[in-house]
Amino acid sequence: MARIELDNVSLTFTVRKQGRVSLKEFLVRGLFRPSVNPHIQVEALKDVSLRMGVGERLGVLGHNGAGKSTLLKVLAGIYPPTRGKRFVEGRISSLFDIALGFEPEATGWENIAYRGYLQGETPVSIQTKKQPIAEFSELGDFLNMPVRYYSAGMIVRLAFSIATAIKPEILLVDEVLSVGDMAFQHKARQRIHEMIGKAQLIVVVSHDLGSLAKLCSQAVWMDHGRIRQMGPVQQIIDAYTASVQKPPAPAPVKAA
Amino acid sequence: MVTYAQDIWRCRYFWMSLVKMDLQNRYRRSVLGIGWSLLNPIAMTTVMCIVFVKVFGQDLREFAPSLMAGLAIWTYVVTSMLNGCQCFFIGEQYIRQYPAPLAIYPLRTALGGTIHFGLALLVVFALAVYAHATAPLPVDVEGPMTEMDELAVNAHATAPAPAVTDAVRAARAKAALFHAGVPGPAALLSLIPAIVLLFLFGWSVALLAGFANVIFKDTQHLAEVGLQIVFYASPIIVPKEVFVKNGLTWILTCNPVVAFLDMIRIPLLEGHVPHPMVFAKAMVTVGILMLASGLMLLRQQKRLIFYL
Repeated sequence: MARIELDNVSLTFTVRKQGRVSLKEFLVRGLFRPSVNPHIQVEALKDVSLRMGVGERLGVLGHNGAGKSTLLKVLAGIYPPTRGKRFVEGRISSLFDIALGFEPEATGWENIAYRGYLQGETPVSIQTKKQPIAEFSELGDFLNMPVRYYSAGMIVRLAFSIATAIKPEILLVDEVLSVGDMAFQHKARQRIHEMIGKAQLIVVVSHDLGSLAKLCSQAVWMDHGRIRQMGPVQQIIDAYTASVQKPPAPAPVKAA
Repeated sequence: MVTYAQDIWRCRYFWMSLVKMDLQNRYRRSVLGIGWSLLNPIAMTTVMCIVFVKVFGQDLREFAPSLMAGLAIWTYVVTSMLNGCQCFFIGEQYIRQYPAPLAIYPLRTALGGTIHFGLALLVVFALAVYAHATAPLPVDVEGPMTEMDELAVNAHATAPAPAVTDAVRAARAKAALFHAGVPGPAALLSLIPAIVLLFLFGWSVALLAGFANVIFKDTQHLAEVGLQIVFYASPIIVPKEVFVKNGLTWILTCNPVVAFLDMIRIPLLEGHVPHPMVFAKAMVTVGILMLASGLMLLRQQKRLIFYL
């Protein structure tokens, strides 16, 4: 049974102004108080609580930098919460940044296998899926070429085809609904609908409010790391649209 | 710990495919293919043999396989540490998308290195068998002095030795031992636990180096310098006798790499199973490193992504 529970989850990133620290600087810092590379605390999520069960479809919307993608990554288990508890039950399939994770020197066919293994497939199961994935991507003979020769749109087609060829229990989607050319967009939307039909639980982040309204039953409005409002999808969309007359400024960050 | 190992096993197809891909990438567009990876130790051995045999008078037949085995092991240690420093950066795109157990990234490095090491070891084995097969016939240790004996003694002595017969006896005994030393089945079987221990050593080193390099970005440079120091403190190009003769035995006892060098060299070059103490020393080293890796994973695994 798929289940998501976030209890007062907060996530704070500690970022340094100048990239990563060297051992020399770490040792010297103990001797001389003011550092040339101070911390910056970024509170990406503040006291987020969420409970979802089987059959629920949640949309996440909000301004840029509100914490929508971070929320999805916390749900996927990539970022551990700084405070609060995360409990997710069920096999998670995520569609983030789908052009990441390609090996440029390998051919399209080989990348289908690699991405498949990343998603938990076995060599046997990926064999049966290779042909349907290839047909959905419509890349034909290009699949025999190394991926580094593909155009951006071709990569996205391939990534999308691979990522959606799985049977998800919990599906997390991060702004991949706007992909490829128009013909492919239509196909992609249908595919997402199919996946959503098969998944037990989905969370979708998107700026395309029309798609959200069609796909989701509930929605959550993220604002500067907090949940500003949660409820039926159309109600939240209306509230968000109304507020967008005055776009909010990015949240100030505290320097140490 | 057990569930962690299960998690690693569960995503085995993923990291196995990464290892395969690393190997393919390396040789994808090259003519010799995997031969290139052997060229380095072969070339190094050739050059060093020319220097050490002509200039310092070492016995080529003993020295070449020993040197090549030492270089193969050393290359493995170096690549484990230096590629290990980079392993989390190379795998960054996967880490950001998919919460796999982090140990699979240094595992990828260590497995790739072990495969290359295995290939180099085959060449060393071939070289050792050739050296044994073409060695001069077994000598009579107690026989009369000959011109060859004088040359053998003078090549090894730093000063005229008064006890000539003892030195001759020792040189002849060594030659006899070498000739008798074609590796038998027991010796070859003992290589299997040796390679497993070497692999675990490389995995732990890669993991620790990877974490250290992500947290402190200059770890790789420090590692490069440190490795140079350890190279000269190990009996790779310099035979063990030189350390002992100059009163530097303590370096040999403290240096963890010595046990691994012995574990591989003794079966291949002297043809018998190494003393259990050698294995014990290697196991203790591996045990300590794996414990350190386990602690590092426990404490820092979840936080690594914040450092990337």
